[in-house]
Amino acid sequence: MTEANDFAGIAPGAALPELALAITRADLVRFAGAADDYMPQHWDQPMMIAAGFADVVVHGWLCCAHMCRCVTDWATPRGAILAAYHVTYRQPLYPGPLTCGGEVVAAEAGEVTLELWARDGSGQTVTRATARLRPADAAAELRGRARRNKSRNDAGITGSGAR
Amino acid sequence: MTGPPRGEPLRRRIEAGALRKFARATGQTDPLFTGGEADDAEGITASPTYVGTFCNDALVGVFLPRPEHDMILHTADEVDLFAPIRVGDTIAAVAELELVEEHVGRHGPTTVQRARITLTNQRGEPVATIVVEMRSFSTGQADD
Repeated sequence: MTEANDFAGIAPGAALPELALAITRADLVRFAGAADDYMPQHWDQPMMIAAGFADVVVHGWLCCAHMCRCVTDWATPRGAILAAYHVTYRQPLYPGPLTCGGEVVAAEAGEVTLELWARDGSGQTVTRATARLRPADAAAELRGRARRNKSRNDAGITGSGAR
Repeated sequence: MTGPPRGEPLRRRIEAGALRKFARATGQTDPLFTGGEADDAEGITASPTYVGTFCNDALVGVFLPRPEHDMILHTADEVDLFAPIRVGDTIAAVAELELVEEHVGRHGPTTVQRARITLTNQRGEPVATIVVEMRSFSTGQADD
């Protein structure tokens, strides 16, 4: 069993606690305001029904936020930070029940990889994602590496060993 | 097919209220993201998907217009996070078109467009890269 602040103890096969919630229209309005996302697909129900959809669709970023919350609620106490997430919105998600979960699929070289899913009220997987975690103390090193890469790119340096 | 980078980056100064509002809207309870009850706004860090709030404004004029398409759906995001976003930071966002592909899918002719947004902070440090993919198509409603 993984102990708190034990990044090295995270092992493949560990399952994230599922996060279950219901997304309401009020949630869509709240998210639209917080994210400055006023695309009509998320509020114009007559337009969406006329276009062949069952309802307005939930913002992809809102679904993604809940999937990432499922990760950070579990990972932060273990001394891990979210370093990357790649998300594919496979099916429209409509307001209603949403369940998010995932599993550790790899843990090596100071990096943990998770596969994530989000299911609607019918149990259909509407969104899939992969996420990468790093130890929280690796964050500063990561920023330094990104800064060095940017400096090299800005300077047009491509050779090895450049600083 | 790749378009040119946009000229001027979008710049936003990060306010505590915006981070709190986003945290509430996404169900966050971690005081790191919400600020908890503390008055010290300096301690608030943006939750990991806050970077998505830059997309709509940064992408204005980047995706190629498809006037024959009356529906656009957001189909994928690839996000790499390098540095936290904190209250008081000034974040610059630059977007460029990476890919345009034409398909025939279940909605008929469909255009897939992908753009890369690069975020940097006021110190010039890379904060995140976001690759956003959208699909547009015609639902046939415009012909009614």
